[in-house]
Amino acid sequence: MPTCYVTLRINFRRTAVAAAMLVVMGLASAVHAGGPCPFGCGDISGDAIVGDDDFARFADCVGQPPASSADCACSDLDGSGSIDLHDFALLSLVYGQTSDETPPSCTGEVGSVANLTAYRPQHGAAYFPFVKTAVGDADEDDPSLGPGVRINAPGDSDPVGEDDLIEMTLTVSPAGAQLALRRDHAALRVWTTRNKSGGTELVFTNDKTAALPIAPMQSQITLWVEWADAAAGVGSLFVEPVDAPVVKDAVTFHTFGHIVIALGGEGQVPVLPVDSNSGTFVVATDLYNAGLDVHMYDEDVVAADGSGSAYNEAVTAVRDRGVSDVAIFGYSHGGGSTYDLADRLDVNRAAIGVFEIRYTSYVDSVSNNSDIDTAMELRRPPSTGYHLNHYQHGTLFEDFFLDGGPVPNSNPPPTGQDVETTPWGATSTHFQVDDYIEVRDLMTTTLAIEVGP
Amino acid sequence: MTCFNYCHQTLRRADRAKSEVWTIAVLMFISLASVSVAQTAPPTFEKRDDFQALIAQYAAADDDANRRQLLNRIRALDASPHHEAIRQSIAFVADATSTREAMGAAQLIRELKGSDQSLVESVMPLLDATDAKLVETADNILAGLEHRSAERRPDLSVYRELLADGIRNHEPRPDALIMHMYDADPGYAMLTLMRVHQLREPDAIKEILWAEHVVSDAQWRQRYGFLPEDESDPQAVNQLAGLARHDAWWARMYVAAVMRQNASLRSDTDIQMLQQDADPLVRQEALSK
Repeated sequence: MPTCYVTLRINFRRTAVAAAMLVVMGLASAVHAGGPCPFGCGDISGDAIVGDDDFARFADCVGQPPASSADCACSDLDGSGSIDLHDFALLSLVYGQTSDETPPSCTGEVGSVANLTAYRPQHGAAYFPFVKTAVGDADEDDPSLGPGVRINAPGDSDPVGEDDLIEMTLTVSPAGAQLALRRDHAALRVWTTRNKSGGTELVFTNDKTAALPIAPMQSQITLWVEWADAAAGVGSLFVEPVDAPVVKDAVTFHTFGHIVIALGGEGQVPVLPVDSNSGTFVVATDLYNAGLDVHMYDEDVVAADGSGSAYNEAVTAVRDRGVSDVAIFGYSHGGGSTYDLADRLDVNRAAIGVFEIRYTSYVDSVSNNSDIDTAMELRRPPSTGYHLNHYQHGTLFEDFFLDGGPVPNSNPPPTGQDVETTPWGATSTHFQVDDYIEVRDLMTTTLAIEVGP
Repeated sequence: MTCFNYCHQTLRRADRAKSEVWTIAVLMFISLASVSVAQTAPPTFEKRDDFQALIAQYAAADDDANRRQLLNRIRALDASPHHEAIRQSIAFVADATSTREAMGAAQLIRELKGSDQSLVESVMPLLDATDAKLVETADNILAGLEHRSAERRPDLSVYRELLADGIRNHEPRPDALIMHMYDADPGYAMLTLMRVHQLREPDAIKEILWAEHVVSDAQWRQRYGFLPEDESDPQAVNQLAGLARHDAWWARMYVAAVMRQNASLRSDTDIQMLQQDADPLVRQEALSK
């Protein structure tokens, strides 16, 4: 290996040296005759940043024919047909940054940086009763763990107003960078307003938008992503330069095929921050943060005949959003309401559509014919595929004799778990049973198995 | 015509006229009296600190001896059938901020209440409360007596004797309770009130039964997908139009309630007519959203 190359490998961060090399070598603008490189100049690995990984791949390709591998095709930055020091000089100019150019048109000009961040779904006017939660970078392009989106086909009705679009922010550097969005699924539509106001839809031509409406001094814009097709699916949005297929970031959306309904106990109301003494809502929040479409309610919204806003949401999910899997869980009167809601959904199947109550759970379930009903709820929710049941058998006078009880065909088999038979739940009362980490963890894991992505 | 005959006929006409005037006067008096009775405002419920403190202690108590002592103190504040104690407990439930508070007060109510009808008597004044949450809780407790389920319509029979007693004793009409009944199930509410008002003529009874059956059938078909929810059923609409002009206020009330709850069966003409109805409760229902 030539000594000058070794010297450059040690000192590759020194852009002045790199620039001098360019002057010495001269710029060659021959077009490489091999396959096109889909990534930005120097971004051989395709992770949108030129770093050590790219350098290592480049080093392996030095002296190799560009057509010998995908990495080598991306290493011929100037398209000269050989991978040499001139390419290295260009690589050095963009090291640690990004380029909006693609081989063989690399000039060493540093490009813009862009980051897409999608959020978990809204409820009604905003995110309450959940906190606005970003999908992590590690998960955002995963077809299962990435952002879920409710199907919002034409004719969809939203009882609480349009809340099916997913908020997505685009952060760019430098401010005002000229970037576009590309999609790989026609169902994805993007708006600059959450309620799809007239004239605010971004137009895709051949699945790519024109330059996004980023003002010269603006470094962040908020967009709203809609899945506007009745069929379920997975689709991605990519942010790229307007005239180059250089992917700077991507987010992958998957449609929700489920709905999860959480019902608290009497006197428990969803609040922010979530009340740590409301175990049902703690579980609901964990599931929401993990990416499920969770709806949290005061059990009072479920009438004794199962009707109410929770029922309406479940019906519209099945009827209008392509949901086929329903999960319901509740504590105390919320458990009684779990039964009532499941019962009404099961009775009215003929008018609702095809769905399964895939999962239900009771925690010390109490019948909920009214606010003063104190009877144990011992009936298995109708048609549920998996029923989890936790209860305590009573602490005499400490909890007004309020108890759940064994429910046929429940888990842990055969009738659920009396937590007072465990070391951790031996002294449980009705008011504590929903707060045990063991109960909450089992609810979270079993529900995720039955309903999760 | 002889003078005698003329005078005789004149006197007879005068007597008849005088009789008619007296009849009109009596009827007007009765109407004014009934309106006056119906418009008497019910007493307003107020939370009492003495009750609320004891109820809070009861809900917080974790041993039986302490709880029984508190129960006795609450009973001592309010003689049997403990209507006021029950109302105060319901108010506590309405404002509860934890499961313990809510269920503790619920257990107290179960200790204090007697029969279901007695509980209805306890709850009824709360239906006129100014606190919307309290009214909602009162409605909820009544719903618990109606055995509501997805598979059956509410059972309103628990109110029948109470309403019948009220009519026999010439008591004010319990408008808030009646609104609750019609909100729960207009058809069963109307049938309950038909029995309360003791119709006797089979044809008159059949007219009501048939109308309720036709409308309920249309709603059943909508519920199970045989008829789109937004599609009108002409026979049901026709029956409602007939009842909208019925002599009985409880039949006209049924029409207003059905049309409020089911837009597909609504007739703007009939609703506008009912909004001008002679009965204030019918007008209120017709004006409700």
